[in-house]
Amino acid sequence: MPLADPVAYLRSLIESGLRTADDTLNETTIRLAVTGLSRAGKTVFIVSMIANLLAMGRRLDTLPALARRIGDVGRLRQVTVAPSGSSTLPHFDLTPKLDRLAGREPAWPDRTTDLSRIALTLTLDRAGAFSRLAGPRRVTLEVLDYPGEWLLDLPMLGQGYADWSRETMASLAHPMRAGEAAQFLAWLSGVRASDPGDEAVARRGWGLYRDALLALRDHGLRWLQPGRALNPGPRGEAPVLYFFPLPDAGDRPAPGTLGALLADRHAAYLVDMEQTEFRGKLDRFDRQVVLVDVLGALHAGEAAFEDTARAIGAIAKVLRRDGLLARLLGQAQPTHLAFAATKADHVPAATRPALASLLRDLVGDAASGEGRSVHAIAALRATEDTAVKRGGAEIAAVSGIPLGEGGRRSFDPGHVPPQRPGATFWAGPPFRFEGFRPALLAPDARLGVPHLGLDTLLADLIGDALA
Amino acid sequence: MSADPPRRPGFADDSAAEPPPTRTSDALRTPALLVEEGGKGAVAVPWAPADLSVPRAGMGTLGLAASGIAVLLATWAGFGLASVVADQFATSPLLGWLSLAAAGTGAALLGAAMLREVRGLASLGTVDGLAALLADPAAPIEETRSRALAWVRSVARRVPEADRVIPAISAAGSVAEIAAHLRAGVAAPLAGEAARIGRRAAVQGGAIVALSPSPGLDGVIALWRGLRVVREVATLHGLRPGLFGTARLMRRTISIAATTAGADLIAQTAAEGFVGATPVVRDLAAAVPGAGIAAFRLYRLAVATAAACLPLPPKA
Repeated sequence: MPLADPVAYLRSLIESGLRTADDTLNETTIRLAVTGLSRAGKTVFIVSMIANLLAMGRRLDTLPALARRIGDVGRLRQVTVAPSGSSTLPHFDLTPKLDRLAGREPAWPDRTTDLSRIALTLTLDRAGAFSRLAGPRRVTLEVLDYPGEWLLDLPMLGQGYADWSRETMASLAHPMRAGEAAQFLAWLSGVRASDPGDEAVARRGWGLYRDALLALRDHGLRWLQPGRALNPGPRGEAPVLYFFPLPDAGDRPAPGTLGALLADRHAAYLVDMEQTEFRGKLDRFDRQVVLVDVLGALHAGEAAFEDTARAIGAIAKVLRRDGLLARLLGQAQPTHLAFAATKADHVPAATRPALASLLRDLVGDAASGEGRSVHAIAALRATEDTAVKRGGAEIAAVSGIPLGEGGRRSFDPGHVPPQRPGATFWAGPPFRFEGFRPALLAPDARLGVPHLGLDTLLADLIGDALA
Repeated sequence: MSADPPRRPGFADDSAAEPPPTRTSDALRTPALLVEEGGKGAVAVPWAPADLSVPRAGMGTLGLAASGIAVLLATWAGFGLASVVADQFATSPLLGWLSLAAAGTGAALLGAAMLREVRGLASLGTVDGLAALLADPAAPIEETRSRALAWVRSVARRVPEADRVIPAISAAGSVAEIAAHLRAGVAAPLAGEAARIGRRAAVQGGAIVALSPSPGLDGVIALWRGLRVVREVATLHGLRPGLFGTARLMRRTISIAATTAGADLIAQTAAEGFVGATPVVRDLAAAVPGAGIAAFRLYRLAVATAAACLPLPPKA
């Protein structure tokens, strides 16, 4: 009521005007999407990044390369977890995850089952004496944790049901996939798209298809669609999920047939995912890191490796929105894109460059250009480098406690090729290894989290906004 | 390129994982889990991040010279006094005891002054410690809680309404929650009280400047009143600043006024409707232009000092 109390009204106008001016001048928000295939270590990456940035705010040099990028580190006044505001996304619960990692019996965080968001505010003094009069800058780093399984739904968005079915059936024909999906394929051999659209048949087919996807995931395969079949998320299973590929799916299925029922559900699923999980979430991030467990894929065998390479390529292609028009309009997204081979602590120091080089080779053109970079990192270092005798020769290895075991063992990751390996590489059987237990951390991770290469990655990814 | 044959991954003590001898001409070393290293215990990766704190500049030339002069003066005074006392004892025991009592009283007063300085600096250090804990979400909650409660109790002696947050802080489940209670229940009344001190100082300072016979005296008056404002606001916040404590607080206040609180100060000043709400200042400003500026500066000083005395991190 401006007329009732004009002084108060004028006062509030001035106050809000000054606040707006201050926000415009001093407030910067950078949005970072942490993406990658499932089991790539996205949650640990976020926990480590936040713990190390918070420790940096406590004047600890936990991220040396980023500190160098900032320049005069004395300018970093503080780092705090920003209030959630009125975000509709679930909050990334940092404390329980840190407690698990930094407890007496350190354990990795649980698998991501839903989208979550967290934001940090970094307060920095300005560099020049004159510009300091404008007050310190507040850089808000908004981070999104995204379930890896759902990312593989992105390439589906541009496909109809018939195309998706043909592609999926061709993929299931691979000997390794066919072995794990044998029950589904045997059942499918008796089903036709022209059969009546019966609910019981659809549910049965979906159940078998989902079981096949789960078995394939356990064998290290990553190109598994639809993502919500593996991770239904907090909304749980719904009828819209009950579809599976048909070998004879047509572009125009007759109404009332099984083909039409599954095509309808496929279309409804994509609309639902696009509207609820992608739009306004993944597409509003201006920086992105794609995490890839390259070593795990290499050890899981040729099929899993090729599968991972295919998935990374498809995701990178879908998430890039930097066409000519976008660049001309200054709307190219993401402005900074980093690819990181995770679990670099599973290989000795001398092999880490090969791990990064292998990922660069897999990513191809998507990693070239301004603002693009490739790294080998371990968000939480769980091993120490060591040297052991093997086959009569001394070799570099790493030492840690394998998951499920009580004592330390040395691990030789074998030969890590710097480029996509040739056929002879795959002669041996796949090597199954769940990884190492996390290393002991200081309580509450007050000293940050030991890592490998995280600082260089962050310097490339967000350093420009802090310099 | 290494001349070693390529290996496959694995553990070294796993016999099945021994490298296959010569599967092909370019056989790869397979991955393997190797020798059991029992007894070494958990993995504690070497991790000792360096301190990023900007090293203190240390004592400058002037500081060294001043310290040297102070030491020389103190030594000269001490030996001089001892000599005087010894001379008096030589003259007469009564005069000797009297001179010793006088010198002892003087030394005791100096000691009391130094103790007050130390306590003042320690109280500043306590608030700084609480500020560091509140700025850190991973800070130990019990330590933060006990320090926050101690601070609230010290503030509540002058601002009784601060007492109301004690139960909430006692039951708080996180450092962020403690900070929120302090902000809402303690910082807000303190800000109101600091603004009141600022207005009073503005009226007094403006009036004295208006009455001062010489413009050269204006600066001295403003400095004297400014120092009083800093001490009053600091005392309100549970601090007991002595000479050095006040100087430290003054430095921090200037820094805050120049950086953090720049926009906040303007907003707060505008929000207070300072000139409109203080008719005496308005009249003084109209009559004596310099008086208005002095009054405005004293008010801003009170607001900035209040920000410097708070252990709360600035609002994100």
